[in-house]
Amino acid sequence: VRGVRGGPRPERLKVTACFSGGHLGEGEVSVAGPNALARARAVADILPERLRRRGLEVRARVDLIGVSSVHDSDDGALRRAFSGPDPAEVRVRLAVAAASHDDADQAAREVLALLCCGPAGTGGARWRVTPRIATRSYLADRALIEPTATVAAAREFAA
Amino acid sequence: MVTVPLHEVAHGRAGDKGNRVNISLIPYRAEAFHVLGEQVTHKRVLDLFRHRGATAVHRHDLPLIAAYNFVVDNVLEGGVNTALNLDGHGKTLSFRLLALDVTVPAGLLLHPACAEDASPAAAARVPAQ
Repeated sequence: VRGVRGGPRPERLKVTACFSGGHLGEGEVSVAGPNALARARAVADILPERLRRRGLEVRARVDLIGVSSVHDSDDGALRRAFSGPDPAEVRVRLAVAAASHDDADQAAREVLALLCCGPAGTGGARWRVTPRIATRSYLADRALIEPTATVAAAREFAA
Repeated sequence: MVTVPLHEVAHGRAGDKGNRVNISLIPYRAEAFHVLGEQVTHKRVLDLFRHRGATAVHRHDLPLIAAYNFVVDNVLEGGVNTALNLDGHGKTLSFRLLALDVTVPAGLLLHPACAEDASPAAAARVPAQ
């Protein structure tokens, strides 16, 4: 890069505002041993179907952690295309976005049902719901903004 | 010439801004800059991320520091505030790029001995288009 130049300071500043962004629900279960991948695939197929039958208002995604998760898409394109060797263990993760805490919680808890009525040897269920923050960016007149900083401990917010 | 995953020739890091990710690609040996530029095209990189809805890839060439910066649009399925992916920032996506196959002179590899024993990495490869 050559010839980098500056310019006058902008009259407006970027402002990022935060809003309530609904809830993230996550549920996980493990499968291990012979046919772990096939049983994990069965879990991955069953979970969205159970959400559909319950009529929960959520947007859902399933990951096979150790096989296809962080590089995959919400629709599981890499999971379906995977043709590698059978892993020793797979952690299956359901993630949902919901407007209400209750829908996110009900969906995330669906992993627990699979210990008794899912594929054999499904265990280690954990679930949680996390509130989310959405952000939007705006431009604001510089004159309206007075720089200040406030430092508070997390415990003060929790109180 | 040997065909190897990019990670034997270069390293990379990724970071997010909104629904975009940018990925640096930095050859371990500066002499690899031009051959990587011929093979790691914006089209091949877009193909790596199409399944996630990526719509465009812009490659910025930085020859004075022998590096590339790839900016991938609309790849994070909403971005860190709304994505369902465990890795909402897309930090792991640098290694999807580093799995791409390239064909280079063996002397450009970080560990030239790898050229004779490339099989362990074969499973992680994304075949050349």
